[in-house]
Amino acid sequence: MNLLEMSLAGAVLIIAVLILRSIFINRLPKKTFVILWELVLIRLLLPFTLPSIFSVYTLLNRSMSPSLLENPQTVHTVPAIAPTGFATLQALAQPPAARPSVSLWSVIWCVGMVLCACFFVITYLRCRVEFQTALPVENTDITQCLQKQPLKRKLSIRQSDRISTPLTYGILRPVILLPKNTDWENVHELHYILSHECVHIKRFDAITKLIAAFALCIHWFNPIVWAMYLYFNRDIELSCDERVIRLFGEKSKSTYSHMLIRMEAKKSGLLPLISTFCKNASEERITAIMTTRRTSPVMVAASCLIVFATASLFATSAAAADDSRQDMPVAAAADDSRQNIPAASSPMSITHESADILYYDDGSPYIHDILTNNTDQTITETQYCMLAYDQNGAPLKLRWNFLDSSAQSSFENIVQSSENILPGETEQYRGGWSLYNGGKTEDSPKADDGANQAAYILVCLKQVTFEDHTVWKNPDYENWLDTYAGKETRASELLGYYPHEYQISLGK
Amino acid sequence: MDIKLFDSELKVMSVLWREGDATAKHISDVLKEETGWNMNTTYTLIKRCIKKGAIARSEPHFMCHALIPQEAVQDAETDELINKIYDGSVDKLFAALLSRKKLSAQQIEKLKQIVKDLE
Repeated sequence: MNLLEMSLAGAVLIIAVLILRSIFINRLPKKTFVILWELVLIRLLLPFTLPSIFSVYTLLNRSMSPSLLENPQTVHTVPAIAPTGFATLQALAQPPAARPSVSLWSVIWCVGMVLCACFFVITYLRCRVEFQTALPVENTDITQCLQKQPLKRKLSIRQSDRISTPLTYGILRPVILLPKNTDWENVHELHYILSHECVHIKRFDAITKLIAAFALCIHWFNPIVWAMYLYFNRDIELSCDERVIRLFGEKSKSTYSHMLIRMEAKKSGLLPLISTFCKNASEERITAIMTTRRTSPVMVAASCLIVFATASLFATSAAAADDSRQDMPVAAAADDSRQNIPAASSPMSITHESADILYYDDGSPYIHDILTNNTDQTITETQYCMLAYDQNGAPLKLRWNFLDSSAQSSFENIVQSSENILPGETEQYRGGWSLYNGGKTEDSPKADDGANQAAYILVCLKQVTFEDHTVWKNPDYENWLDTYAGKETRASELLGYYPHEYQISLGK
Repeated sequence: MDIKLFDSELKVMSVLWREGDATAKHISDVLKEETGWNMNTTYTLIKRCIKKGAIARSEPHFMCHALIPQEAVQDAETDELINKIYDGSVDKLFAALLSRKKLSAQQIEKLKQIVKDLE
C-alpha cells in the first residue's frame, strides 16, 4: 500500500467520520469521535490492509468494472494530435507525453514534509522555552485540589504572564500553566480549570496530538487530513469538557460554560484574524457542554456500533478483488523464479508516446516523436519508419530527403537516431525530422511537395540497439509496413494510434 | 522607564536587587532553589534582560549588574496600573486599596497617615 493509497483511504474514512460527527456530535458521548479519529490516525499511518467483505471498497468493486480499479493512480496522458495538423510550437513547451514523474513527486513530498515538521518543531520549542520561564504558584487551594487528582507522574502548577488561557505541557512531568491574571480567589473556577487539564494529562492527550501532527506532516498535501487535524483537536477538548461535567455533576454545566466564555473574551483581543473561526469553535463547544446528558446504555451501544461499523466499512480494504490481484504477481514470480517483478502488465516495453507535426518559427513543419524506454537497459540507437497522411487519412508520397535533388518521393521514410534513453526515461529532445527546408520553399512553393498537407504521422520501430550491443528487431515491422504503407487509413485509427507500445523480449 | 519586563525577567532582576551584583551562575543557583528553573532557562532570561538593557554583563564569570533600580520598575508598574485600570486617577486606586477587605486595620491606618502627610 503506497502513500497515495493510504492518503486516499484515510480521506474516505475522514469524510465518513466528519459526516457522522455532524449528525451525532451532541447525541453521543464525545469519546466516540475521539476513538473514530484515532482509527483515522491508524489508517493514515500504518500501511496495512485488512481485507473485509464489508468494506466499501468491496462493494465498489462489485458495482464497477474491475478494469477501472486496476490502476487507479496511473494517468495515461494521451498525446494530443490536432486532427487538422495545426499543432503549434506551444506543444514543444509542454511535451505532450509528460508523464507525472515519480521522483519529482517524492522530492516535493519530502520538502513539504520537512517544512511542515520544522514548523511544528520550531513552534513547539519556542513555546517550551517560554513555558519554562513560568513562575511557581503558591496557593493553598491549588495544592488541595492537586491532592484530589491521583496521578503517577509528578504534576506541577505554574503561572505565567505570557499566556492568556490555561494550558498543559510535558508528558512525563506534566505542568499546568495558568495565566497570571487568573482569578485566584474563585476556587470553583480553579477547580474546573485544573480538572480539565488533569483529564488531558490522565488521557495522555499530548501524545495523541503529537501523533496527529505527525500524520499531518506526512499527509500535508491532503487537505482532508488538515480538516481531520482541526476537528480531532476540537473533539479532544469536547471529550475533556464532557468528562469534567460528569465529574462535577450536570448542574455545573452553566458555570463551566460561563467560565469558558469569559476566557474566550480575554483571548479574543489577541487573535483578530482567526476570531471568526474561534467563535464557531467556541459556539460548538458551549453547545456541546450545555447538551451533555447522562450516558445511557443505549447511547454506549450506539457508539460502539458506529465505531465498529465505520471501522469495518471504511478502515478496511476490498476483500475478494484484492486477493485475486495479489495472487497474480505471486504466480508470475513462481513461474519465472525471479523476484521483484514489476506488477505492471508489460515488464519490458518501449512506447512511442506520440509523433506530432510541429512548426519552426519560419513556418516549416517537422515531425516530433517521443519514445519511452520501459526496459531495464539504456537504448543507444533506434531505427524507425515514418508514414505521412493527410487529414482525410490518404497516404502521402513525400520527398522526405528534400536536400538530395535526385531523391525520389516515397510513402515510407526510414530514419536512425542515436539518442541515449535511460531505463524508465521518456526522451524529450527538442528537435525533430524536418519535412522540408524553410529556405528552399522560397523558390519551390509549399504546395508542391505535399508536405504541408501532412496531418498525421505514423511511426514504427524497426530495430533498437541497447547499451550492451543487444539488437532487438521488431518482428511485427514487415506486417506493419504491409498494413499501413501507401494504404488509405481511417482518421479514427490514425488518431488512436498513439501511444504505440512494443513488447520487448530480449533473447537472453 | 520604557523597558517592559515580564514577570520571569523581573524575578531575575529581583535577585540582583536583593543581593547586589552577582554572577550568572549564582543567579541560576538562587533561582533553581526559588522557582525550580534549570540553568538554561535562567541564562535565557538573563540574556533577554541584557538585550533589553536592564542588565549589564562584565567579565570574568559572567558578572551581572542591574542597570535599572527596583524603584524605577515599581514606578513604571504603578503608572501602568493607574493608567490602565484606574483611568489615570490616583485617588481611584487609593479608594480601591482602602476598600479591600484583606487590608488589616494597621495597614489602613498607615495608608491614611500617608494621605495626611501628602496633604
